[in-house]
Amino acid sequence: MKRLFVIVLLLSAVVLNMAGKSTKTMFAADRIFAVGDELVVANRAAKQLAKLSADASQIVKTLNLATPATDLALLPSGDMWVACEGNMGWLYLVDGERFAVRRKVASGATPSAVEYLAASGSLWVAQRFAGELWEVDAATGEKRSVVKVGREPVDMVSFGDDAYLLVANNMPEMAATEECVAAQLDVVDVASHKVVERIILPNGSTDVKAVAKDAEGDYAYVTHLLSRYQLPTSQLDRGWMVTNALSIIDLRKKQLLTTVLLDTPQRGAANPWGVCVTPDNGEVVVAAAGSQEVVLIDREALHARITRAQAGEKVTPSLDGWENIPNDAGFLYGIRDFVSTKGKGVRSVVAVKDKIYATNYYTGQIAVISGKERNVQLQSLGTSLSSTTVGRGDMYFHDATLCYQMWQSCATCHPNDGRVDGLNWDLMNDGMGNPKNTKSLLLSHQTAPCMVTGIRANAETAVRSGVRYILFAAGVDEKVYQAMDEYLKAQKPLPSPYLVKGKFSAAARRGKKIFDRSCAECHSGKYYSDFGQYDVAWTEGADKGRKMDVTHLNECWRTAPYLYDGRSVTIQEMLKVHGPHGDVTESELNDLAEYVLSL
Amino acid sequence: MRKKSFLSIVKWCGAMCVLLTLVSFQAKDFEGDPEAVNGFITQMQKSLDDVLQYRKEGATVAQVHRRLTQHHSKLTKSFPLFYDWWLQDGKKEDPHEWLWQKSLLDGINQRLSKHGVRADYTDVKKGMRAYLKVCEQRRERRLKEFVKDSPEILYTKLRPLRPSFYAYTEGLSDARQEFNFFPGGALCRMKMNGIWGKEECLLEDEDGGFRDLDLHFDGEHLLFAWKKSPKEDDYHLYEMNLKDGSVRQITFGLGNADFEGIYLPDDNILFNSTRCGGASDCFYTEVSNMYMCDREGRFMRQIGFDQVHTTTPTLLDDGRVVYTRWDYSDRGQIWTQPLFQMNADGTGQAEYYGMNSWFPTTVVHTKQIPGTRKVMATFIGHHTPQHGKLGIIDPEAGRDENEGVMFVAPMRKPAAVKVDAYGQSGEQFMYPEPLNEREFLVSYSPLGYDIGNVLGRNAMTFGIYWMNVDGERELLVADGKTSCNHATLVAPRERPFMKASTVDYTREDGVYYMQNVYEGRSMEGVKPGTIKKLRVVEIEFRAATVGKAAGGGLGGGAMVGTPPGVGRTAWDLKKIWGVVDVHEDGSAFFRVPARKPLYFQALDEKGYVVQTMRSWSTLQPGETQSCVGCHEHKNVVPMSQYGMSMAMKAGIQDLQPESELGVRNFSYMKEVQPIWDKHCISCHDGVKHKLSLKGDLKQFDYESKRLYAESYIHLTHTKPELDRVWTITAKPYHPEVNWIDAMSEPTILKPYHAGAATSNLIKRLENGHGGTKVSKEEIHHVALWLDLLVPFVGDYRESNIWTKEEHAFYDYYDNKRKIERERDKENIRLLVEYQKTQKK
Repeated sequence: MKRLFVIVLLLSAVVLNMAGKSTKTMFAADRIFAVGDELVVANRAAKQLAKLSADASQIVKTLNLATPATDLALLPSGDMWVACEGNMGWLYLVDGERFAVRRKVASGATPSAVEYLAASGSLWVAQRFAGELWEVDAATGEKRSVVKVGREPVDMVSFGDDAYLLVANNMPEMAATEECVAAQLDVVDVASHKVVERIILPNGSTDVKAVAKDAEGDYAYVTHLLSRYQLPTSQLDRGWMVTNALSIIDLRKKQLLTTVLLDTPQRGAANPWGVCVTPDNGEVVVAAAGSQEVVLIDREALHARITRAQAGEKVTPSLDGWENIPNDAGFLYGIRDFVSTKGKGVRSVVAVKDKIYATNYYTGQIAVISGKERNVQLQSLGTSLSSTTVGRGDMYFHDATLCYQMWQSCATCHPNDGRVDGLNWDLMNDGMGNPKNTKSLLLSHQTAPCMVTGIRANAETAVRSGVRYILFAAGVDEKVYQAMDEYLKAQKPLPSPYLVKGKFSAAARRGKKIFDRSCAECHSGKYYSDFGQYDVAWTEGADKGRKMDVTHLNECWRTAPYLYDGRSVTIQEMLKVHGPHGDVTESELNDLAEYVLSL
Repeated sequence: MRKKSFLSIVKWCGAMCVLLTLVSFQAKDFEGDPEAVNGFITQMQKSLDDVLQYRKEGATVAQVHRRLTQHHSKLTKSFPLFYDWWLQDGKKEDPHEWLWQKSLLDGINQRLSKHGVRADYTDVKKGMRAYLKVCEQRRERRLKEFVKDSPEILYTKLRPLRPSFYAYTEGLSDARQEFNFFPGGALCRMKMNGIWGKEECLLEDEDGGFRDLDLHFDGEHLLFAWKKSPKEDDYHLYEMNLKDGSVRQITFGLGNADFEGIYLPDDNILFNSTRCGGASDCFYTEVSNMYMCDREGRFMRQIGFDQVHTTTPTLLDDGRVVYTRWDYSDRGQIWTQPLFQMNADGTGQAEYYGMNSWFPTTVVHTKQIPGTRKVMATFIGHHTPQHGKLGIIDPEAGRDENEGVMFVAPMRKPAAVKVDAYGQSGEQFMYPEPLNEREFLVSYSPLGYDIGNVLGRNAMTFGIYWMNVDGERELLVADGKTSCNHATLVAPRERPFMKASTVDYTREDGVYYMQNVYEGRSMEGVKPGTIKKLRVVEIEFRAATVGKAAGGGLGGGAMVGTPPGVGRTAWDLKKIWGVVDVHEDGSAFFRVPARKPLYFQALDEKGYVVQTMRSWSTLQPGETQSCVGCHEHKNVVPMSQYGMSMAMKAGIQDLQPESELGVRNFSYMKEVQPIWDKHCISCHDGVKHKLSLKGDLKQFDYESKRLYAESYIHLTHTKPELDRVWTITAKPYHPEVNWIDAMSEPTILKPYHAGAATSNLIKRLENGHGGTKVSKEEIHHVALWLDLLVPFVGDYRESNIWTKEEHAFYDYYDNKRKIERERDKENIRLLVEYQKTQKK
């Protein structure tokens, strides 16, 4: 009996130990949080929140969620609110002690960020696809008020003793034909519930991912791409197509101080994602998800250099006036380190005491970086996303090491799982001097031919051409392309935020009648396209008379701006160019727009 | 005998056997006592005694110095390892110092003291043995990491060349001037066994020579150049299979040298070749440019279309090739041998480091430091051999002067100086093989020119050393008779990034895009809107040097062979291709012929040069190359503040003719003289007005082998002096007629430096000088002449007074070049056919 008891005990220990690592559970963390001195990760693949051991080597507790978590906010009580995505998203109130759900509240159109403000005693929730900031009761999770912010708010920080929120909006909002096309940040006055300042980032800024602030609340650091979309895509050298940036916001003045490039003149630090500042305020740490590394910047030296540049000093041989800091790839020379995370897909970083923890999203690891020598220790916490074909395709799609000098990945122009960046690009495949608006890759495998003019016979060809002519990579294994194809094919349209409880609104139903009458001849079938190319009336300049492919309309609520050159910001504007013309009232156009936006 | 003593003896004997093995393969070519240590002591004592005696006899310092160099030579050749230890433990800045001391024992004890061990020996033999022992222990410590996997090193043995200019090293069988080649070479391999190496000769050729090793990424194949005879063969590319030692020849053809080959990521080979033909602008020698072929030697085609030599290419991990490009179009030739880069398909030819700098004078033997974005290279001069100082370039720190340079061994920032024969004093380095950020292999001579005599049997030779950036070193291999060069570590490595090629050989054009001409360092003070057009000019190179003019300016002094003008005027013929519009926002987008060395001139509304490119750019067929502005700093990215440019919206322009003459080589007699004939010579006939503008062709000197028009000589303020070497030189900066001096400085000139916009002559023509009515088109031709640096001829044979022999000489090299150009054309045709079959 005693022997049996010992055997059972031993077996239990083995099983429990294995459970700690959950080797069978897929582990793909894209957010890591410091909750006090503890580490909590959002495991997107398993739709879990996971508490880690102090050394990040084990998962000690998990919490299942309905949808993947995007952010969490700590309450003074030690409990936390967790935002979970989805066009019918969720807020979870989690017991900090027991790591268990206390309350679950339905919330908006993809809650993407949460911030608890002691000053207002409330929770602030960014609703990504609604372009809204909700003030929410911190006890019940119920909405109190709404502030309209920019396009796809994804992160925020409070400042000024919780008097303000700086909201990072992911995408540009203007037509792609404007002189300046860039994403903007919003400064929200908490008391008045108003946006009091809009801070526009440099021309070409898009895919804004995250914001962090320093310990004093003086500066905020925002990660984003700084695309050089104004130029033909003839080369990648020296940041010709895209650079990878960190914008610095002076929180006291509520304005952009400057933007520095994370890249060097000879290589990119692709796809800057998460950002944090070390507790001692010494370093700004950026996760460069495309180039598979963490970028560490000496914060004091950075600001000293900016101050000297502002005073007119030529702080680097390549700096031509302080207003050109966003164009100087030599600006961070000597005050920045690159540290490989020895895995794939570092999306989130957090600094606790003297260590930095980074999540390798695709390879299922936490990279622990410590010491002046930047030692990297890897902790594998489950089966990696890259163990599946779709996961591998996802990984390659986001992998800038496939690219010449690591300037960009496919996700650079097609962020947010193959969608759009809001910019026009002059690709070389149809001549030059005729830029086209970035097209979403969603359903492109199902809707051949591909690209704005249908110039690629199918999406498979477009994928291979993209790697060759935009990443400038030759000799890539066919397996990489095949995995990318599978990943893209697996993408499904998100339900439109224009749906009301999952169904068309009344306006949309009216609009459908107009659509069926006036649009469905070309925009037919389940993809709303007959896959034809037509000489349309609105082509101009070098593209005059060039046939355009009938674009599929699924998920077009998120792919603004519209038309081949992105000249129309809204569907309504687009319809006025595109038609139906003639006997259609303004109200009918609005109904039609509502319908199209609901697809 | 006690066990401990016995074991010590056994151990010491064992060590000596090993030392003897090393010494014997090093010592095989020189005389000395078979017992190395005693032999070393004896020789050292002899040397010291001899010098002491010589000084007692009243020898002058110069005489003593010459004697010292001979002793250095003897000791280095007889006891290379021991003597190197001895030298490195002495005074670095004064290798002679031990020979000025009273006794050998002093030197021994001083060195022992430096090692921190007992240093009070009274017996020379005991003391020396103790010293050599601590040196051996130090060698163990230093080489521990390097030797842990018993590495193999390949290298060549070849006597160092002393050409008059660093690049004249290919020893072409039909060389026109210098023939730099010493027969007798070997290709060797050394395998480290512990801290000692064993040498094996893979190939030996007493009539020939081997050079330029490049190891394939698989670690099993070696590319090298081999010349089998001084006059009956030339350097060609060969590949050796290191596993079985088999060798196959890749390129062929007497009369062409193919050398400095490197593997590219797609297994093509890029190499340096004299097949481009042509002669150096400032001398008589043949030049070499970059060529490419596949691994079988097929589809050989020219990649660089450069004025003079491009040398020592190397492949970086990201797939770029970095190479040295001598570059002096419209500027002086001494200072500009900077680093350039290109993609592995020949596109993207652009500056890597130092294009507009005085320093460094020349950078060669560039090699990437593994795991970094920096390179290590040899820093030499213009009129020097290919050895000098060793340093690291980090282009991310800067691209000019010494901004991005650190010298090593020890680490120090070099001063940015203007020195022609740079880096020739003291220790000498060449051909680094970086192992990591701290350690490297290198060919090194600790004594440099302080050993032996410059050209004779006792001349400086190089051994291959392990070294680190602090200057600690250990000799790995040396040969008493010759130099060991180009150490190459045998190890497979990850194939560098294979960048997709954008070259389309079915096309004959390429496209340039410029974001904003007003951005960049060359447009300081130029108001936006000033630049209306870009003129596109090709520089055409001479086939051979017949006759010379000469001149000197801020960029140095030189002869110009087969002169297009006189001294200080255009180096090469100028072919006008046309103009394109520059839009209001400074942008331009235009198509040009590919595979040609082109340069651009930014023109104002009158068509006068505001700024001109004193270099050239070449596109491969189908290439689109973009730039920010007029020489933006290479660490700058495109400007974000601008929107889509007007040029992008307007589309690609074709070149437009600038005048009724269309595309042509500029000739003074065809374009400018007729204007003087029509409007000026009725007064300016040399009688009514002493400034004759007549077009009579006359001989003004004995060297240029040309007849010049009087008007040309007068307007360019050329004062021929028939009794001097520097016979026919113009004055470029006269207020009446000025142009950018062809011997101008390498650094960027301010806009409107000289030319049509600043010459009074143009104003006179515009204002109707002397009642003349010179048309706008006619003024344009005169302005063009000034802005092209006042060339005289449009053809190298024009207006010549060559002898029959000189004609034959020029024709020989011209025909040779024509043959290679035909071959190039045919190879491209075959390549296109081959590529079609691959697509199927």
